[in-house]
Amino acid sequence: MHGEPLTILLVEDNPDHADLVMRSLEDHKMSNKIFHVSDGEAAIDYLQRKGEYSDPQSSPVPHVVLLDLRLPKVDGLEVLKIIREDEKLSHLPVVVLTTSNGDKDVAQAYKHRANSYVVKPLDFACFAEMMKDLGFFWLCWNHNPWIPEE
Amino acid sequence: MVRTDGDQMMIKFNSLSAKILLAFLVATALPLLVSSYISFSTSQKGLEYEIAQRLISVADHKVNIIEAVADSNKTEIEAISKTSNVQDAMIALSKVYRAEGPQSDPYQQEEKKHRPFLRRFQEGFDYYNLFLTSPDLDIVFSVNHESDFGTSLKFGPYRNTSLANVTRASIANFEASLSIIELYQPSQNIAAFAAVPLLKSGKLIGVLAVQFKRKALYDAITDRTGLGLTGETVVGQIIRGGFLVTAPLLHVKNAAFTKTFAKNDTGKFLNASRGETGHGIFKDYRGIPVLGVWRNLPSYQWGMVVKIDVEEAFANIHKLELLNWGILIASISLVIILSLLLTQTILRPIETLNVAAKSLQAGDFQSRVSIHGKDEIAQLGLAFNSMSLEIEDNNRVQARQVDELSKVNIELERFTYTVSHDLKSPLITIGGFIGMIEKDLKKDKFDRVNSDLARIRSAAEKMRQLLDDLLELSRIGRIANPSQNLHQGQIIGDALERVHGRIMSGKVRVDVKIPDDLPVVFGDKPRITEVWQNLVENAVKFSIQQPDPVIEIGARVDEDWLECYVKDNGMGIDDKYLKKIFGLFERLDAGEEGTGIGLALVKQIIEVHGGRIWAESQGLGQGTTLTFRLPLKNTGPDF
Repeated sequence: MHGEPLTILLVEDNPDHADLVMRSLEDHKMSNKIFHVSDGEAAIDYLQRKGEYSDPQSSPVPHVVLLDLRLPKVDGLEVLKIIREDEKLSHLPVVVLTTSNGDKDVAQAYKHRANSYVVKPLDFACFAEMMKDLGFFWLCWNHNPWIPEE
Repeated sequence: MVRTDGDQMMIKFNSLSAKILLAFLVATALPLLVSSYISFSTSQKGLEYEIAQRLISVADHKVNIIEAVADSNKTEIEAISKTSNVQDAMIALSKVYRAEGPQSDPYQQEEKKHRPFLRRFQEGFDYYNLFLTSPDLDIVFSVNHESDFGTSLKFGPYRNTSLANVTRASIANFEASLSIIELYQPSQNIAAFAAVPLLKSGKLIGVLAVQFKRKALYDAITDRTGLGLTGETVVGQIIRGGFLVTAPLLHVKNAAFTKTFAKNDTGKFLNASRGETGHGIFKDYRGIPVLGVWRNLPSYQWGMVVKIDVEEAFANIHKLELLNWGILIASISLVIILSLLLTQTILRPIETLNVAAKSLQAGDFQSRVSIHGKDEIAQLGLAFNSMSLEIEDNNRVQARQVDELSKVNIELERFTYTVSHDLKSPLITIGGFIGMIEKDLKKDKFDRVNSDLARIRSAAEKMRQLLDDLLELSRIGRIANPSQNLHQGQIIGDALERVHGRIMSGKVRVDVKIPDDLPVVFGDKPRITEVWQNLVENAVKFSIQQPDPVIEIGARVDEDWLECYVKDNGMGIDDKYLKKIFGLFERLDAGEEGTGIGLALVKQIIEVHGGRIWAESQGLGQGTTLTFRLPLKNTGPDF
């Protein structure tokens, strides 16, 4: 893993949910660092290193993006589309993490080449288990392509 | 069948026009054809009969005239023979001729005595010559001294002439006789004679003979009265090997006694010469078809054929036939033209209707036909147009309804989706933090329990609020308060009172700029109050971060509208989100409190009052103005 810290970008507008995700992941010592942004616009800014996220040290490229679909300002699907259209970001694993299990959302997400689509479980035990699995899979088992930074 | 092409001039024989044409032809042309055939054939027969009868009567008349002439010739000469002058001359001249000869003085003297009155007879009756012949057949006197004078008809050179024959015949029969007509040598001409025995006291004293003038012979025969342009009378007698023409012909010069027809051409003449009569169509000596009548002339023992060319005789029939055909063709053409015209006048509008109907069927609901006149087809056209109009209207209404329905459907889908999402969210929060607390409690960790419980409470509260707002939103469509005249100043006062707490706690300055003479609008007071309350709450929420938060509330009249606004000096909104803020469950900021229903509710209320609402912002950090306008001529909310 090239010795880099394993980072996750969490795009989640609900602060409670963001807390739950982060605390679940931390419980399992999954990640060196979780970056949380609360709307689509901030997510794009982070990934494209705009504004406050321009420093690559404090805003490193994440290993995986956990993306909610319903987001203020810029919708989650739109964020996904922008990631896939951006040459530098298109390889980035994106896991859609949302409350919606609507067929249309699933189809749209995969159409825009989401790597995975998971629905937040209402049951906490399931929720915690899922976070653990997600963390293991995407940070340990999954192998990302190595894209050199310019 | 194809559409009407402008330049397609050919009549289209679609079934209807063919039927009409056929019906017309059967109904009119067929009887016409039959009646015209019947009338033609009747008149043809009639005409043929009439023409034949006319020719027959001409022929019979001719026979009568010729025979009458012959009879009168006989009568004349008999009358002359009875005069004593003639008898005296006969006796005297016969006596001196026999005694002295014709050259002697006594004969000359005697002849001089008798010649004047004999000559008077000749001239008076217009004879060519007059003879006195002795009982032993010497010509003892003739008015014109031709070569026959002084010869013997018994022994002389002219003993076989018609003069000799008729003279002998008259003596033999003791009555006036007529000769046949033939060439007479002494006169170098065609001649005919009449002879009568001269008797004195029952004793034959000689024979009186006259030679008729050639013209007189043929007058009756060559008279072409009633024979048109081509008609003529052919007379002749049977000779060995054929038939000798004995009178002039129309078509052959000098035919009399020179022209002979071969036996083959003599059928009718043979019949006629044998005394038969009849009429019919046959070919004449020229080989041309003629209508002819054949008769016998007993006095001359000739056959006579009175004929006229068929072409001329039946010219009228031919004309009649042509006329008949002309009328028939004209009538049938007229029938066809009429039926085509009728077909066109009936079928063209029907065809137009047909095309219009097909285009209507194909989905062109603006398909109309132009109406001319007031007949049944025009009425059908009117009915079609009104039907088409109705379909178009219905279709428009239907399209609008479908459009509305699909909008509602999309809205509903979005609504249920967001509701399920937004209701699920707090549940996840509640479940999650309960799980967290349980975990912490197991480990005897208490530091986060309170804050986690606060999150649970807040999530539960949010859910309650969400349900309340949803209920409220659903009421707008269903539950209306009675409308009344609304004074905005008063309503704004009510609204401000409701949010007084927040205004105070946020230290927000509120400027109200409402003119005193602001007109009233008609509407639902609690709802409009709700609008103001929401807008002010919204403004407070967004301006509260500012060091010096100010809200400006105003209203003014713009033409037919009452325009109201709430302006804050908060963080402002990016242009691209200005429209989004009125969407259901839309929140621009993640941390923002509220359910995302407020502005959607406001929009809904304004719209049921016939107004509209929009947001303006000079950009981030420049504050936001929410403006709505309500119609002044409002009849109340339209639910």
